[in-house]
Order: sequence, then C-alpha cells, then structure tokens
Amino acid sequence: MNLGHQNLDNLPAEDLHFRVPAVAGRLAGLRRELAQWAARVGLSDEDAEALVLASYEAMANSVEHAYRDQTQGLLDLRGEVDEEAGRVIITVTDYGQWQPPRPSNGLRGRGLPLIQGLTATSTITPTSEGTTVTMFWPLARDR
Amino acid sequence: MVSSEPFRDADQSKPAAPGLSVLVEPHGEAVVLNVAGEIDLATAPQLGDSINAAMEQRPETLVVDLSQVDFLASAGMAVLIGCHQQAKGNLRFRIVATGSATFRPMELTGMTDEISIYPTRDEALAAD
Repeated sequence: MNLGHQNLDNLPAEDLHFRVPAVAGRLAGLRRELAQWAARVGLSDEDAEALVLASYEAMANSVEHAYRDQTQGLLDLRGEVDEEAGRVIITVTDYGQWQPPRPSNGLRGRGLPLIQGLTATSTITPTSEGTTVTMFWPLARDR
Repeated sequence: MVSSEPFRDADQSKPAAPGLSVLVEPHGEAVVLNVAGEIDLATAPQLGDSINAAMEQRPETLVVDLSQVDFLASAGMAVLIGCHQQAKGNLRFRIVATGSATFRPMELTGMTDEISIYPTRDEALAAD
C-alpha cells in the first residue's frame, strides 16, 4: 500500500476523489462536496439525499472505528459515474482495522443499518489493509 | 468541479460548517429545545450537552424540536436515544421531526419505534 503517490491523472471529469485525514471535522465539507456532485451528475433529490447520508455514515465509521489505536489515518472518498449501468458508485476506503462492535446498548451501531436502508446495494469489504464500503444509486432517467 | 484537478484535498479555506444551534424555550411546565442546523459526528455532543442541561431544570416534558434540522447522522440518533433512556421515569421526552432529513433516517433505523416522535411542536406539547 502506498498512500503517498498515486497516478490519478486519468480520473474522468465526472468522477470525484478526495483523500483526507479521518477526523470528524473534515466530514461536513466532504458532505457538501458530495451533495453538489450528486446534483451535478444527475440523481433524484431523494437518492442524492440518501447518497450524502450513507456516504457520511461510512466515513464516520472510518473516523470512529478504523484508527482507534493510531493518532491519525486517511480515508478516501470516491464517486464514479457508470453510464452503461445507469448508476453511480461511491466508495469509502480507510486503511485501519475496524474494531469489533461493542455489545449493543442501543446507543451505537446504527450507522451500518442506516447505510443498508439508504442503498439498494452496498458491500463492506474488510481486508488486512483496511476497509472499503461500496454503495450504488441509480442515475435519474430524465437527467 | 474536480475536473481540472483530478485529485485534491478538501478545501480547508472554505467557511466552517454551519453547525448546530439550540434555542431553549420555556412553555409552561414544558421546555422546548429548538434545534437548527446539522447533527453529525462533530455536533452531536453539543446536542447532548444542551439536552442534559435542559433536563437538569426538571421540566415535566422536554420537547426536542428537529423541524429546522437538515441533516441527522447516526451519531445524533445515538445521543437522542441516550437522552430518551435517561429521561425514563423522570420526564416525558418527545421529539418533533418530519421529512426526509430527520424522520426518514430515524425510521430506517427503527428509532421511531422506540421514541415518541410528533410531526409538529403543538402535537408534542399537547399529547398526554
């Protein structure tokens, strides 16, 4: 894994990529960027709102759970338009280890169910190097 | 937006997030917290502090009005559930929420089954 250098020159114009420190204070700005992006690429208002909240929850999970034992880690937020499939793909990647959920006291652990409720399709892929959450929403037909 | 700059860091020079404001309004034996803005990981603790401070006044009913909240993340829901549990047996804890920004996330996580949620402040204050 190399966090320092990546060849991102071929990123298509419609796509979005941010790499930021995984801290709570950075997420509000990313949320606004996502809302603008979702409106620009052509999602329904309802799907755009779902995309923003679900993506926020995925990033919040990284902030809260991935880097608990470290001072700071990074997270990547990517948005891609898949014209052929008529959908957008959001991925949130961190490079830490998610701690197993604590026994539920009803207070926490609503983030993942919320993501599942806001997307038709989502996958969470933990690897030895980190965790990626992938989520899909349909492009609006009349965009 | 990103087209000219395929990869970049989020711009830190932009104005800070609108954040959260909480206005405390006494209503007879009840206290209403008029909450506006965004409840997320960063602002949820502030909401919790405001609710706890209002609870210390020992009102019969505490209404948390989220009508002017345009973003509610699970961190905020966790705070609301914690306050609801704390209120049990002490005071009536009610939430006003309607619409997709607040009611829908609470509905999706099953929170609407646990806490009394009303569409308007008047209904929250009038309910027994």
